[in-house]
Amino acid sequence: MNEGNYMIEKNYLEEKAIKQIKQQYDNNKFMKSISLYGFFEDKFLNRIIDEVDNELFEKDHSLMTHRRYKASFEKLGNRILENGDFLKLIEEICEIKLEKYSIHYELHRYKIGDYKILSDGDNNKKGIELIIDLTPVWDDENGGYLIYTNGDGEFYEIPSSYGSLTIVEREKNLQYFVKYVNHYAKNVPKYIFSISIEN
Amino acid sequence: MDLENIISSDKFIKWVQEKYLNVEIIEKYKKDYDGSIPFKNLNLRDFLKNDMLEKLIEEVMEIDFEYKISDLFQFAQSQDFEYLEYDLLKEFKIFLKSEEFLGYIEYITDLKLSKNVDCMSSIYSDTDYLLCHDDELDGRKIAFMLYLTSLDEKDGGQLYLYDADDDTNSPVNIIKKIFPNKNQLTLFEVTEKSFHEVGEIISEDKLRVSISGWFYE
Repeated sequence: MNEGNYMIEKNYLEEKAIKQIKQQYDNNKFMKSISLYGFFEDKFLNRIIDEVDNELFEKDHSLMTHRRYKASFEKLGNRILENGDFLKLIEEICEIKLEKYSIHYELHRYKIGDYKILSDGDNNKKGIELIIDLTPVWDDENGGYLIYTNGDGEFYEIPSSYGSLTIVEREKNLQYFVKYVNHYAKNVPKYIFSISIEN
Repeated sequence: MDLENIISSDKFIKWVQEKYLNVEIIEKYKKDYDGSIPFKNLNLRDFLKNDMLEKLIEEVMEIDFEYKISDLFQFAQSQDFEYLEYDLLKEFKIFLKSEEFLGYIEYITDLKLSKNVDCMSSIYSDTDYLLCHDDELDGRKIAFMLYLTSLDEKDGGQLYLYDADDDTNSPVNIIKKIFPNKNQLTLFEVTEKSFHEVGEIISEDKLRVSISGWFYE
């Protein structure tokens, strides 16, 4: 089903906007990256959120590296990867031909006590990482946000924002961790859908 | 150094409560330590003389702490007592690395320790934590913590000890929960399987304050 007509906020599809986004992406000094706030249309997000609630999550605990639940969430993965506008946008910003890459995605759910730390076992291949924030209401004081680090003790925080898309060019030694979710999160889960594009 | 000489030394009499200056009691704790799970650990309640503990607390509360945040932890920590200008904290560290104290710990643990000791203070406040890790680093043999405050179960801040999967050498289940108790000395052996964690503090007004560090081979 073609849902291109209601998925991405129209503003993000204008040629001029894409050029500006690309410029900002290229010029980010810490790492090539950009966060696009309000990237997805509300109508699309509302439908996705309903579906998130029906996903089957499985325990993904490996205490020395992460504690969370995961789901494949193919409904969202397929929709995104079948959307021509989306693919074109990524190709233009990142200057890649997606057909030459393999793409994996997964939905992660973080609740109180959950986290992801940096680990040698993390995928260190070069590529592109797309992070989609699917948490309608979240306060970063509760943790659960992403921090990229380049291995030189420098950090770059990706603040939580519902419906945002963050695009990151993954260089060697560039990894992210998810800040421990503290007790103020109460029962609210943080949902992060990540897409990994690599050779 | 002979155990009798250790427990009758001026240093021990000054710092340690009388009940721990008894060979039979020490033998009992040695057995407890040997038989403990999930890895060797020991908890000695009311360890220091009360007056010395209170004076230590007074000095600790004057230290400048640095708030530290990483992927693995969030808490405030002091410098090593050796580098601080506080007389009693310096003296406490000298006591920890004295022939007498090392001999006491060596007797209980059957390990040979060097005079290389780390000793600092940390404060965990609301939402602070230390995620699961093994402590293994450059010859660390024994981790110790002396709690300066007490916390109830609802306040969080417990020390969790995990058992390990032998094949994957990774932590599996929490086997022991150690509650912070003011004036309790907790020890555990550092190995590739000494997986432990400090649970998040769930209290707006209570602090988990401790003096902690490592004894080295």
